[in-house]
Amino acid sequence: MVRRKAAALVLVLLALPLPRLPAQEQVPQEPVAGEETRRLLLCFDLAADANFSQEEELLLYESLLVQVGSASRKVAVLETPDRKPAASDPDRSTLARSLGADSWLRVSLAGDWTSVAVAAGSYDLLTGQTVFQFEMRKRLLRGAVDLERGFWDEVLEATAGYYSQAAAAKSLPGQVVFRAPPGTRITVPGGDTLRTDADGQARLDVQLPLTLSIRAQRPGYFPLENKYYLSQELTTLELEQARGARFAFDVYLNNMIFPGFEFSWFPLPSTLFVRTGFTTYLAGLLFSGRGEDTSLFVSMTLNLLDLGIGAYLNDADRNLRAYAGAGVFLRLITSLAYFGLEPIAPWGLQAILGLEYSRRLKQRFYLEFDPLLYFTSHPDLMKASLSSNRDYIGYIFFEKFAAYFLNLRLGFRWQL
Amino acid sequence: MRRSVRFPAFAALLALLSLLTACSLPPYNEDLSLAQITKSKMQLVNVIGPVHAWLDDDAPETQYYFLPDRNDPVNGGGFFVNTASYGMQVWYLRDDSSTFEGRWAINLDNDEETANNYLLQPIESAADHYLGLLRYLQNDYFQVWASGPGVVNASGPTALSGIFTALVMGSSIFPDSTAGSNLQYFLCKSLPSGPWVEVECTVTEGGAVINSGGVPVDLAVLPASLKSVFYSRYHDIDPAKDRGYLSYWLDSAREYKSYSWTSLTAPADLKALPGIKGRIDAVLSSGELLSFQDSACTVYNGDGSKLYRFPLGGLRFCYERWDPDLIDPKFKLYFSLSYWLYGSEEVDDRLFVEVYAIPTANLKDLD
Repeated sequence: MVRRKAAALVLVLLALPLPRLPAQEQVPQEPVAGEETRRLLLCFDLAADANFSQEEELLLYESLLVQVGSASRKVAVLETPDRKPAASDPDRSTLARSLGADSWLRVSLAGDWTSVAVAAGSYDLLTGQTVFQFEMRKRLLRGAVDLERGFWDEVLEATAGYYSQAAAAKSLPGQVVFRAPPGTRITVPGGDTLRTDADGQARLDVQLPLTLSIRAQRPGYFPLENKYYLSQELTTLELEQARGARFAFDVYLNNMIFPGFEFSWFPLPSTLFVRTGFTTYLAGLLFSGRGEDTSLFVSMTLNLLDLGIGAYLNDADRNLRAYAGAGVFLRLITSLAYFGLEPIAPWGLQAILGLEYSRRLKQRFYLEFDPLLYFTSHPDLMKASLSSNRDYIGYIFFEKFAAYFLNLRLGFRWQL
Repeated sequence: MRRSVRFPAFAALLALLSLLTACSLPPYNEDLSLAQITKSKMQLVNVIGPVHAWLDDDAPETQYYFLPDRNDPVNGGGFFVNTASYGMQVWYLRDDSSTFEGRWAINLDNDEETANNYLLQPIESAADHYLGLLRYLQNDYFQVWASGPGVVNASGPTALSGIFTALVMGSSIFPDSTAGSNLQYFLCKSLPSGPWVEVECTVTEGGAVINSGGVPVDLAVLPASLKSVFYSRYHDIDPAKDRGYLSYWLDSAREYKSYSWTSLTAPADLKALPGIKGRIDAVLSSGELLSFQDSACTVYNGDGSKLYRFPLGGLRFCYERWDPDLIDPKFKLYFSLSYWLYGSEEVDDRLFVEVYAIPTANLKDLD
């Protein structure tokens, strides 16, 4: 019997004009420009002894969601992820903060479709107060029609009444104090940029209460980006940033053929680096053939040792980071006949231009251009050292040196 | 840049750069680099080139080297040799050569299974410029001669009849020659089952091989079949100090075996030289032995004890020659280095040849 009623209710609801059942994407409402808007997290749950079918539960939830969302332009309603209920009031507060809400409304239902026990309560995170809390019992004599006509009136009135007033309440001037190590730069949306003084403090005049998004940056530390809820009682923020990487280890393929390894030390964590490593040509895989008889495996008794310095060009928490630097390299022969510097072009300079990409801070793919400038007293012998004329591509030969522009590394970097 | 655009852009950049750089090898040629180390310690005595050519695509895979004229390695020309497993081509080049003209070619069966089955040696001669070519076949001795660039011919094959109607498996020229002739030794056997013997001859002007008439040394204790042979005789004024040297590949042991003997008349003192790893490739007037392996030259004393080693790379040991300098006559060793600068569709390829010399007594300086 209940199921038949529920099915009928679904049909009735589907027949209602669209404005009465907005699509879920329309909730939460976006804040209205120029107005203070409260962000209310809706927490909906059923008591353990509640007796509702899934369809009935869905109807109850969505009718509440739509009507609370429409109750006031000053209230934007957020949903809990997957409608998973929080277990306690502190959990609801934590969840609300994590979702960017500044208050929550809990509605808990018990009973069955004919007699619904409603328990409602709301908490304002900005004032740290329980706004209201009450219980009532309702009947759904005419099914879904009753849901549209007054079923949630008490909840709506209590919610809209408080939060409209709270949002419209005149804010008071106040001052936020940021505590962070001296020199920390704090960026506030709207253009304000602060810097903590020698005492590790920066102050910002604001109207309270306030939801404030900030970005704190300090050389050598990962930037801190967060949203804070400030009331007249809570005006001091402790900003704790994680220190950037001190070391890094790279594994890469040079020109998609030869392996290499690099170890970096950051004098200024995640920003300035000094690095050393080597590319070995003793073993490589030639993925694109150079002729019918070309082996996939290629080996040369040469190794390139490098030492370089460089700096990252943007913030350490960006998915895409760019860096640049320069260094020197030595070419070393490790053959059975000889171990030592390669005599034709023994050393040179190396530019470093790289891009890192990852959504993780410390494990990152990278692509690096390392144009090489070889110093040589024997440019003809160096030219003759190339396997064929197609290898001349990317080289410019001069009297005392030769430049190579197509040196590429593709690798993975672990930062520690 | 929007997040949704960043990764595809990164991937596209990666693919583009990979295409540009993939299969690009560094400017390194072990032969040239190792040669550079050693040649810097020797005296550059002759330069030839650039000699222009249009090489086939597979030309870099073949072996090539230069053998300076034995008459005059400093001011003369020499033979440029290009070998593959199936054959050999020879040109004559001089310092004024700008292109390759006239060649002489012959087939070889010199693949891995039959390696080192020929010997090519410059021969001193008062007339023209000579190479002696021995293919280790029965009665197969050629003399390649050139009167200048573009004129390369050969006489042969010569049966060497009257000296030994035999299979020749090695030869060495003693560098102390006068009046344009060469003291040359042959290791040979009469087929089908004769013992191995070594014969002393004089190769005269014009390439005639004349048996000196000495009694052949009987080396009957050697295996009937020799493979990848090196044979040489160290000649001393004192016959008691003369030594013969032999290396050959032993399939069953997968290594070279080397021997020496001192007697001119008996094989009883055939002495194994187990200290020599690899093949003996040259015997010097100083009594030192050279072995070229793994891009290096290892120097042993006459008893097969290792003395020192130096990198060789693409340097080719050509020969030892008596330098009759009026002030400071001495034996000298000659090496050559040949390398190509590859051109393109529009630019031809260019060969460069350099000839280096070092007194035999100073060889240790290369260590």
